[in-house]
Amino acid sequence: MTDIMQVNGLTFFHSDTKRWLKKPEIFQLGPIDLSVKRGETIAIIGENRAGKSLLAKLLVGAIPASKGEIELNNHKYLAKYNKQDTQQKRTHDIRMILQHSSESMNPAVPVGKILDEPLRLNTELSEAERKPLIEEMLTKVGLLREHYYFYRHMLSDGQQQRVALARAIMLKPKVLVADEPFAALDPTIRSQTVNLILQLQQELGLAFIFISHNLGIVRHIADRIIVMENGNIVEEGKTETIFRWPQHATTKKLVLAYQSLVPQHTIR
Amino acid sequence: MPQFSLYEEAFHPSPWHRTWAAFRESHIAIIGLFVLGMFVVFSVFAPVLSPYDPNAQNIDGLLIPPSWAMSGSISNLFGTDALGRDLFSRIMYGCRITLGSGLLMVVLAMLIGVSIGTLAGMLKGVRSSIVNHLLDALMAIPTLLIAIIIVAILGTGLVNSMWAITLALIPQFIHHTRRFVRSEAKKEYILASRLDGANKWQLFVHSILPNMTEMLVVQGTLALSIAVIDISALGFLNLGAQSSLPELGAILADGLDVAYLAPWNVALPGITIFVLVLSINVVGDGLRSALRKRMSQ
Repeated sequence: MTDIMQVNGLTFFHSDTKRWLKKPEIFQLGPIDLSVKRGETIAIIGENRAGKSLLAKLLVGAIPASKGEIELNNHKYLAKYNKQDTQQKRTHDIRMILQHSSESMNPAVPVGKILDEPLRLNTELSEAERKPLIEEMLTKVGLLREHYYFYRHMLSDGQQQRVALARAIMLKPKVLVADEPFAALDPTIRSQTVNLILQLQQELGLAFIFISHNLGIVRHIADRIIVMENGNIVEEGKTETIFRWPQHATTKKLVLAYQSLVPQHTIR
Repeated sequence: MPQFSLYEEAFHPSPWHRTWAAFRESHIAIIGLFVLGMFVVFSVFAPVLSPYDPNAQNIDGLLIPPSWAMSGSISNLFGTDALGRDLFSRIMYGCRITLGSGLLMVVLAMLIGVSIGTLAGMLKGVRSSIVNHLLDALMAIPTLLIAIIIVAILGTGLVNSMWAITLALIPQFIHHTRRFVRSEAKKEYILASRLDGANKWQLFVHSILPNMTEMLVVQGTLALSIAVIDISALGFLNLGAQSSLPELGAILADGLDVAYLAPWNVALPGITIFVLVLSINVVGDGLRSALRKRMSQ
């Protein structure tokens, strides 16, 4: 297993000192060092406001970072700038599933057009070549070819989630970042989605980084866990290690909370 | 992946099909559409449909009452005016001028307003504010006053009054577009498109513009009814179209001189303006709710 992504000293600094008559708000994320192997699943856990979503957005380049660099397949990106040409390559390789899949779909544009967008902007394919690709992708994520013509309001939450997934893997990325992809789904759809992602991961060999509050799923699918608190990584390690021998106070708290929910004999 | 293969649906209703289906459900909107369609047909085919030349004066038949009156005749459906011109033909041509110039003004104002508004929405900070409030001074002055100023400089005429009204319509479009683009740009699907690698222009064309139809229809119909009222008001005050030109307001002003003798000369052009504006508003309202239904059924 080789490293496909290397993150060095990724820092984000946010200070809101200009506010009048208000406490200055200072938030610093990182510096974060992270290495991701091919086909690996990494879970990011932590309390609210720990900077998990921010880290995800920094990784895909939705928000420019203050410092640091991301190395992908020996191709370095400065995380600070997202110039158009380097950005192009980055959209190819790191893709994201946003937290609210329903809000990340344009209500006035049919699913086919939404899925067409990454192809249209990042590849040289003609329209006639793109359509079969989109239809293939729709069936791959468990939708029908008809859904090409559907709008957001005609789809259920689970289907919207599938569309978001299809959009993310349309360009065959190396790394997939997901911000709470399973939060809004009911247990059946959730396990379907989990299985779907695991299957796609095997097929495409993509690394999957996801944020979740559901430690059950984390334990089930993650290879490695990152625990964050106040914008820093406080603990990092193999899933079983973290669950059995949590070191940091935050990790202990989280794992304990999880164990109190699950009957003891299932954990062991 | 589905284990079974299904036949694909043969027909997928396009967005316009859906809008039409939702529009059809409202009877009032359909009636409004028929009335507006009638006006449009009259305007477009006025030279073919009108029985007389609108400016042909018939000395033998001054102030003939409309055909439904006791002394009226079917040869002049709406009667004639003080110069013996056929009122029906004049109103038909009047719709042509009033509705046509109104549409022209709204399209022009919309194009200018939406482009400036989009620019303002995409810019940030002081620059955005400056662009946004560029034409705000015009909002403080009533259309009529702007028209009077322009007319004072350039002289009276339909075209000059059209410029005045177009100028007055633009700021509304700028403000609504800017606000819309602003609120839209914060939404997550814009971020998603940005992550796909879309630049600002692509974001606007492919993500924001499809959502803007509803706003444009609402503002467009509102502006159209304002434009129709304003152009006939200016015509009525003799600041816009001159009385030789068959424009609804000007016809109304002509009729005012003989209002006691021949009240149909005032009533019929007035009713025409009223029905025209009403049908525009009804159709606009129906379209808006149809577009909204299309998005959220």
